[in-house]
Amino acid sequence: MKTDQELYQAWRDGDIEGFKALFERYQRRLYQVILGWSKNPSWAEELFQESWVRVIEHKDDFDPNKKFSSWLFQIALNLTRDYWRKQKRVKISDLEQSELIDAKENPEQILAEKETQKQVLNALGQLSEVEQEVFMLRHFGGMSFSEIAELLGINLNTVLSRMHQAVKHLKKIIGDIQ
Amino acid sequence: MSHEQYENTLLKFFYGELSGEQEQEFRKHLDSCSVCQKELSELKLLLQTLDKAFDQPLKKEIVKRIITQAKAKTKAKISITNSIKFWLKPRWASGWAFAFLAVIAIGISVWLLFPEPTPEKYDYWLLAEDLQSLEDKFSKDSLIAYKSETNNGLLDLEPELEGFETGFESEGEDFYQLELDLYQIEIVSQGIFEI
Repeated sequence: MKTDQELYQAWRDGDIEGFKALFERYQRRLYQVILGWSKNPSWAEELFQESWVRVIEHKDDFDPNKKFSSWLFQIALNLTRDYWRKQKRVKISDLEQSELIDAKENPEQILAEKETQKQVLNALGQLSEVEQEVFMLRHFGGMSFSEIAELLGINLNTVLSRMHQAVKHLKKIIGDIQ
Repeated sequence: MSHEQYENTLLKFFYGELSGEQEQEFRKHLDSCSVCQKELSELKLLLQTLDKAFDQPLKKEIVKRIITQAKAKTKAKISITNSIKFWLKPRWASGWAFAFLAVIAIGISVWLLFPEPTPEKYDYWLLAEDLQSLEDKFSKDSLIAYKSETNNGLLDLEPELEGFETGFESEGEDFYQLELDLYQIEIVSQGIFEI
């Protein structure tokens, strides 16, 4: 399997397949991370698209010796932080039910899953922004704790402490859902 | 290690970020620690719930839009290496074969339609005419002196020009060659007239 660096280089040299492979590798993770941060599927789609547009527009500015995933998540994080500033905290209860899961066929299952997703996103919304950043980058972004420390410009112990706090809070909030 | 420190180790263990030695050590601890066992099973359950809630496919139109945008912004870099690599791809093999055959066919057609022209012949008398024109170039007095000495005029140059004559008479001599040879004759003649 080709590395991110090889795929990026191929794309930079004009091979669109390089981009497609990178997109395929990160699209799901990035969307989930942004969804967790924004707690709003419509906004998550907007931010997701905008993140990739930035990657496409600034591909020549990226230093190929650095990690592509860190660059990608950094772009998404910056956009999300702007979004947070504009939106403050979005309460999931404000969202339309129809915005959530709509790909399943069984109506009862759809309702149950929508309810679970709503509660999970609401639970994430109760974490502090710094806890959300660390938790989503580690769990859905697949970044290591040390990579997160580097991306956020904080030390490893702070990252681990924020992750621990996030898990502790989520257990408490989501424990009732389970 | 205090039990609080195991909280961070447990997270690293769950995400596979411990070194081999650290992992072995933690597994030993886990076997005998009911608190860590409970923590780990709760963590797994929590994250499974989250994974399920986030298991949502991305809309196809979004994917399509991004790929289209990337294509529009991706231009192939024109470099010699890339060009060679591109044109040597197997998909161009039939194209190359066709181009090769086309060149051969065009070459044969041209050869058949436009045969090589028969070269003009230059004989000695033509040469003599040329030499006559040379007379004008040299001093008339020296020519007259030479003619009166030999009493035969320019025709006496024949033995000296024997080597050149052969060249003029052979087929395939072109105008350039004629010019060249005349130049040499001129030198020879000049030499003779200077004597």
